[in-house]
Amino acid sequence: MDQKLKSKLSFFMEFKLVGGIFWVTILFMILNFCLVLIRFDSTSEINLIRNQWGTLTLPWICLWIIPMFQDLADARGKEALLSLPYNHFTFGAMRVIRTTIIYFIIFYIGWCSVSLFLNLFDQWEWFDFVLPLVSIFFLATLSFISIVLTRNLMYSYIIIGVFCSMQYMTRGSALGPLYPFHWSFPNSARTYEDNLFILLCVSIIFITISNIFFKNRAFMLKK
Amino acid sequence: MEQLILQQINKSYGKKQIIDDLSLQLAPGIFGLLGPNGAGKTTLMRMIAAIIRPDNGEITYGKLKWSEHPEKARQIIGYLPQDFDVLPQFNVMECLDYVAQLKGILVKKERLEAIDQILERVNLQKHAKLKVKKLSGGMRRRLGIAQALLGEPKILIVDEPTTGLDPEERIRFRNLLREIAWNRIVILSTHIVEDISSTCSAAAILYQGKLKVFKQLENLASLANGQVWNLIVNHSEFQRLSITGEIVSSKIFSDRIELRIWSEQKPSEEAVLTEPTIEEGYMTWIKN
Repeated sequence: MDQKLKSKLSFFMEFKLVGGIFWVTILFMILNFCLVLIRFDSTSEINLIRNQWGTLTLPWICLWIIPMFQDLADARGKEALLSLPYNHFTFGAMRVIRTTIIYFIIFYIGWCSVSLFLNLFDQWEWFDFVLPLVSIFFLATLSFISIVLTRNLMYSYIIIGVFCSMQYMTRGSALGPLYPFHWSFPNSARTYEDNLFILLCVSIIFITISNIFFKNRAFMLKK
Repeated sequence: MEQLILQQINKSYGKKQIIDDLSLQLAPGIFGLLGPNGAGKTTLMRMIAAIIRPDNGEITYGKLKWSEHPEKARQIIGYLPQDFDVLPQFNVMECLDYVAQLKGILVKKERLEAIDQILERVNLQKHAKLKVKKLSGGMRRRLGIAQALLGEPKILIVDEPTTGLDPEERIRFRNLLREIAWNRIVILSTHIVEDISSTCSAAAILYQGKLKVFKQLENLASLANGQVWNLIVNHSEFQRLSITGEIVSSKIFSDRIELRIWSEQKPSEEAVLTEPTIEEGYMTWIKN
């Protein structure tokens, strides 16, 4: 009986759940990749290239995370799924982490390719390895907490959209220190270390809170 | 065979008491749960399905207690709620594969075998590649019962399964329920009395949070003994008819109308006492 608790979804199922929007994200990345190669060359400033690549690529993780939980949060027949014996940690937080890693790998393949084509590797700094990962993780956990707490697909997209736009336009001044674009569009008033630390801590808090609510099936059942 | 036991279950939302000190003991077979809309049937189903917790009381199956191990309780339950409107982007096969994975059937070969068997059982093999959003109401119900049956649950809960189905689908669905009930507890919640009378051996009425159990359906029907009357009138008499009581049903023929009347007193001189049905027993209980 305990063995049955190890329920998990295959990658194929995850991406099938996301639907066509999965490919939209990939398409955005490919288009952005082409745009970067057209606009810049090896003499270009790396900060400008980070800005172009990061700003138009990082936020789309929400298009994977939010629909992944749609059938458990925002569907008429969700109680059929809420009665299933899934493990809330494996099916909640772990899926977010797994998807973040996959997204980051694709993001990173793109960034490494850009760096290769434009000879940027010698300009790389320590934060090029970790800050994008933490920023993606932060946006993934923000998406997770939005869909769990609102249980509404549209509200979740609006929350992420408004948050990202406001923070980008004000360089993180509008809504406190949670600034996921520091890697691509840095705010000179903050250090990379501080940004990394704050985003990581808040992401852990978000994913923990989300999972507590996700575990509460009576809460998830509410319309 | 183990029994499902509900002991002194209470549930309220705010000041409204939905389930009031409910106790019930169920053995394998189809058990009907009747009640008007808003009686608390869905809340009770959700508690048995371990989605919501009772405020107090305990649900047990053998040694398994819902309050201690809800995750294990979910492993022995199959649940088909009123709306099964999920995963529209999947086809039938993928939908069942998704549910099977969440039910912990992790080996692909086992999963596919289980899905094949269930599709055959619910007569959906031909539609295995059809998208869920393109299924008709009846087919979607059958898919719903298929997902509930995956993993061979010991307790199957079906909430208002025949609502909105055409007569042919309704009969097919009832037959399906009969087939699958021989070795498990099936709880059929409905407000359609005909569903109960054609499938269940025992039933209960839930009304204003209170439960009244009838171990045999005849006991429910007999509540209306002495209160159901048959009256045959012609069409012109029917226009002028003045009776005490309530017309439960009428059959219209070319030369006459046969009326069934529910009344504590004889509704007219020509009326004849008749054997009550389960529906009439149910009405009597609710009104009293």
